[in-house]
Amino acid sequence: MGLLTTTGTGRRGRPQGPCGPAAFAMRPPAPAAMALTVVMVVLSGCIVGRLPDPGPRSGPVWGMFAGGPARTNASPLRPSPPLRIEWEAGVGSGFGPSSPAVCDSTLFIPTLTGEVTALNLYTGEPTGSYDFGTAVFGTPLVLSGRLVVALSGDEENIVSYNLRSGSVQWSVRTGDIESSLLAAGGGIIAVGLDGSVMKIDTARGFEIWKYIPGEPSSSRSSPASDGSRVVFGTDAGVVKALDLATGDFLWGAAVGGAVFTTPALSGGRAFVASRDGSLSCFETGSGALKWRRETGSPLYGAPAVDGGRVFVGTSAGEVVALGADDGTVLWRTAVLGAVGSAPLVCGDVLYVGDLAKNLYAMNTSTGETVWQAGTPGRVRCTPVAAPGRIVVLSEDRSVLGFVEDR
Amino acid sequence: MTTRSIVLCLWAVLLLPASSTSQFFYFGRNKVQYTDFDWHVLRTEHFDIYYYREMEELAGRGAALAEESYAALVGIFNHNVSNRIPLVFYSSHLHFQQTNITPGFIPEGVGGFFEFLKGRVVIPFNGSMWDFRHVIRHELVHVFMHSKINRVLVDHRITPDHLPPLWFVEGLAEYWSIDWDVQADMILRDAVVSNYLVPLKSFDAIYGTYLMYKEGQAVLEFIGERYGEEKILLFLENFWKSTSFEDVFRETTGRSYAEFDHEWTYALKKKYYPLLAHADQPSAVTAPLAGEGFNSKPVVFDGDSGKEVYFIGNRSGYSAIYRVPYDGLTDGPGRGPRAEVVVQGERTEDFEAFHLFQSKIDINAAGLLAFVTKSGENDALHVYDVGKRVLGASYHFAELVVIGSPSWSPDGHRIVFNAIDKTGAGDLYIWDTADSTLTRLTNDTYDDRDPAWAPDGTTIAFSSDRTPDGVNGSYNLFTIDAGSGDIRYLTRGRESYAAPAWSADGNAVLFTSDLGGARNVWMLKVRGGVADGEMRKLTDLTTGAFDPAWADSEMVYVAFEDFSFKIRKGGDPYALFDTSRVSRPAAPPAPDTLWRPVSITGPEELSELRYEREYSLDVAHSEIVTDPVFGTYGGAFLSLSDLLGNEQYYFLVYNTAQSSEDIISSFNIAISRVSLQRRANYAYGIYRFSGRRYDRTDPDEYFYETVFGGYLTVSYPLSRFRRIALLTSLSSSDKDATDQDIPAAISESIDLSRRALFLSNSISYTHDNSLWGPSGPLDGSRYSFTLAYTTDIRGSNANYFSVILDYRRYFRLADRSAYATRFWLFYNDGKESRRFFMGGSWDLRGYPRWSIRGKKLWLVSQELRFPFLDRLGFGFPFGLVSLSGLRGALFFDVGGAWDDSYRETLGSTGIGFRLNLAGVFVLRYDLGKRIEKNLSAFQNGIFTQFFFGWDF
Repeated sequence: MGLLTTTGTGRRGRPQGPCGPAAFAMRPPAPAAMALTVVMVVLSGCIVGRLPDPGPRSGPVWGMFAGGPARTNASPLRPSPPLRIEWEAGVGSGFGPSSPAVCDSTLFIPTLTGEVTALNLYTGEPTGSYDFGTAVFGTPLVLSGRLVVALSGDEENIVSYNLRSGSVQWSVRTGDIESSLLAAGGGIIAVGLDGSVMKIDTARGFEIWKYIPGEPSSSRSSPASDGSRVVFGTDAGVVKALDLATGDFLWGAAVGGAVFTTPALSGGRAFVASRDGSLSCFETGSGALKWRRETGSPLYGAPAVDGGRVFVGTSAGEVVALGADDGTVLWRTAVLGAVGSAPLVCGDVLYVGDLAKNLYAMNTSTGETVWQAGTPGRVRCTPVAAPGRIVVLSEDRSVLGFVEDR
Repeated sequence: MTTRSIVLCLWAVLLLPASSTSQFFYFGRNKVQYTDFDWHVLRTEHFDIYYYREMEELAGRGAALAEESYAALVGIFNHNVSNRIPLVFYSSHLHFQQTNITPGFIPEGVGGFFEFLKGRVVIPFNGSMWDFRHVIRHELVHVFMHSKINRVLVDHRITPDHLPPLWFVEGLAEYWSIDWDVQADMILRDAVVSNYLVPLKSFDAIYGTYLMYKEGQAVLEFIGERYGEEKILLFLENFWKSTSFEDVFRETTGRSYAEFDHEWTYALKKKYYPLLAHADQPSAVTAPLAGEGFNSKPVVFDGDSGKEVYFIGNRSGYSAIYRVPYDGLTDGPGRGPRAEVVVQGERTEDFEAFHLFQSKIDINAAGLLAFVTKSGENDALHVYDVGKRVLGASYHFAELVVIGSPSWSPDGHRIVFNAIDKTGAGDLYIWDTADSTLTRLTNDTYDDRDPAWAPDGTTIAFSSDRTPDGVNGSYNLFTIDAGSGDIRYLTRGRESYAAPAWSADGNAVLFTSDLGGARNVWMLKVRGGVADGEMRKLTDLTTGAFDPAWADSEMVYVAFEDFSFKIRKGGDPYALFDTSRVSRPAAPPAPDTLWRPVSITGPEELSELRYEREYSLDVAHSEIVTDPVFGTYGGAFLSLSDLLGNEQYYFLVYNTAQSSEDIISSFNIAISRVSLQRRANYAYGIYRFSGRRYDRTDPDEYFYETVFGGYLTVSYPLSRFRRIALLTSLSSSDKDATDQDIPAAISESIDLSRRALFLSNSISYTHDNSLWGPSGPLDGSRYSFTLAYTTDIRGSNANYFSVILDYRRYFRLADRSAYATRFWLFYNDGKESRRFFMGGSWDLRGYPRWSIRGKKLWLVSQELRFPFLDRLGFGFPFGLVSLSGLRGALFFDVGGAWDDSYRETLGSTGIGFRLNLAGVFVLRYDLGKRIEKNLSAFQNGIFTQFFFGWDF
């Protein structure tokens, strides 16, 4: 693990300032500073395989999968269509089902060969990379000064990478993980492929608690939290809730098919999409089923929740909006291909991609498609938002930066 | 002509000196392109559907089924196929057998295939929309699986150079295309109860068999049921984790193969053993009539020789019609009386294939047996007089491609049968043998089968999917009035009913139904062409019963057991009817609303285009070779073909230069075009070859030759078994042997440097109806006769003719044993006529390979072939390695070769062993004694030869 790779860095040797492209003002260098700069240039030129430190967060942050612990995929930003492609960057490997992480001007792109590539959010220029050695399925956690990833296929499965020092801070062996980590309750929550759940100390990586399921049950579902509970799904089609502080099992509820995605939590409810095509709503406190709607085709993408509405894409090529309270279908909009990822809600616009290589923008109230663009590869991951921008991962190993077309 | 053979001919022409082409010959059956298909393309959202004009409506229905399957599979796989999928439809299996998309022959049991190099899916229609939908979805599962696995591996930056094992590939295709059905359950029930279930860890032993298909499906059914249906998809998602599928299996299910087998086999025993409490193995409750191999469609005739049962079987490897005496003595425990061949199939063009399991036979009171075989382009209806043992008549119908299940009218003049025409429509027809008129009885989109003429002379019972449940594969029994065409229900259910057989008085009908989960024989009393009362179950077998037939007051039927289909005596149907405790009402008083298949209509945008050839790459191969004698050379080979495989191009280029000065002169190029679209296949091309040669047939060992020219070859198949081939080539040869160290005695008698312009012409006649066993042919015969003439039209340096006769005959002694004989006569005469050669494991054994040379050559080989060891296992620390199918041979070879004066006769005799490795090639080991000095003395000691190659 931790093979160093050569990388092309756009701004290697230049000290990284605060998040944002032009926030750093350099004073005319004193001779000592000049010498130090030279040394830093030389040293940074010799340092390979390093991820950049975004620094203090003053720009957009999408530091974990689906934007936050509740996994609602609702962004506070409002990029509005029409958009155009501003840049396109290639990375070396394919992507898992999870989105990039964003911190300020840096995108962190996880890949299935273990490389996490950093790109400049606004230009697409590579700014660093690090090879963690094996598949990174989930969105990395971007915490203060560190990047935490979950791995599948290696002995060390959770790795905390210090962005400032450019080195691994700690790593723990937990068993393979093929979902995204969650930062909640002062720790890091991970759901293992074997269905176990653990809470890890953020700073030092020791285990705080661990839940082991009574029966073997694999899981690829990323956990969500409302601040007091952790909710996740299993391949066997069970939704479980644990106490965030202690890891105690609180409740479990069966749905009709495998839950490969993350639940979305909002308003005391958990919205769960399952492979049997149903979208279920549970009370997070008790696990009681509030409502369930059959969409007619398997669901592989998580729901997004915003403004009292739940949005989900189906493998039959539809985006469906339902009322969060009672599951009433508000609208259904057909797209050209199957939707296998959660939509991204940005105010009154919803962005979603499909397997037919398209990215769509829809009006969240009416479902009307207000903009559409082709992508070079299938879109399997939820887009992420930046000011005036949308970033999409395309299956042909490219990252697309869309900007508002004004 | 086989594609393989024409391509071999092509390369023979290209790679051998032009004057030697007459030496090259080959066998093989012919894939005959009888039909001139007018191909069109229907473009739907995800497919390019290739069809021909006659089947346009069927293509539309198939398109709808394909799009429906595509939508479902996207949801199942969480994946789509980005490229447009080429689907090639044929309206019948006989047309399907003509496809050039695969060069090999397509057996009758193949329902379709997916060719994954170019992603083509090829599917025939068999009359049933339900089967059509199943096969379309089955093949599309393959397409999706390949695409998904490719994606998973590529995303992990792993070279996509491996696939799951075949049991998983085919099991998955069945699992996601059809529910676990009665037929699948029958196979597994029999495997468990008859103790031949193969555990997962030993699936290699049943590789490629139908049992593997069904056991593979059963494994996935169990996993889905026991561990969760999502596991099936997760096999594919986890495929990147290991190149060992057992590791992937363990990762996905948490169990090794051995652990899984323990659970699975136990679960199957728990499921199926209790069946024996109420159901029986056929062998426990019935007497055998015919048990070897697969047997089907019995019919009973009471003639001068007593009561006899006629049926179709394949016990010899060739399908044929057999007969056994109904009350004959058994031919061994559980075997039934000895069966006699009545009509031999698969040896002549009249009886190419019998459509085992698909078409019944019938015999009328006069002893005229009606049956159907493939005969050329279409099926033919034959009438055979069983008393006189002669074929009475054969009827061919130009518009009917596939025919099945003839049934005589009581007056013995008319025959009703089901047939599929060129559009794919499956209907009933009546052929009047008296006035040679053909009447179409039904004319609709439903699939009508198994007609049976009632004794009243006007009512015909048949099986059809013309109910609302027909769209789900349900077949029911109906009657149709031969005069008015009125159709009435006989049965009505969601199950499948088939094979109606009238009693002699017309008051009862035997048939089969899978009502209750297993196919058994039922009976229904009939009055006025409709059911009179309830139907009752007559058999209760653990496996399945098929094709019941009346034998006066008794019945016979086919029962599946021990993975074979045996004909059995079934007892008195009326007695069984009276004592049966399982019954149900037959049909409701009024028919339901009928169904219509769906086609592509409405808002979908379609385009229909005429097929235009677009070529794509088949093979691209480059190579560098270093040889201690000839040095280093390298080159590349490309082949292209159109989507239908009808037109092919081959490009070969390589260079043999040994120094930079030789580069230009040492280029070798060959370009050929092969056309397989029409019945007469042809190929032509141009070439230039230049380099050092070693000619084993001439005394000058090495020479440098530059050859350029062109050729044309035409192969016309007279039938599946016979063909004529013509070859003409014109090539300029510039040969130089002056740098060789050749003895004076020889060098004075030959030209060391020669330029010539060779014109070669040959004509060949080839016949092949051989039946192959594990190491070579066991039955039938094959022979080839060639006349050739080569002349130098520039310098008169060569002027010779060739006669080549290769005759091989195989006399079957037992299932796996045969006596094989071969006769060769190779004769070259004229100026610069070439030498032939023999010697070695492939011909005159005991002599060094190719050591016996002469312009004239003869050889006679005799060989007794037999099974030696069925299985030999070796235990190693890492596991058991077993060899199976070791065969033996006793041989005697004799022959001789000479130029002008006959030299001596050579011979050898001995014993040999053959081992087939994975069906790809055969290892051979011979030991024996040479017989020398004109067969007057054995050699001292013995010879041994180890080589590879199929038996002659």
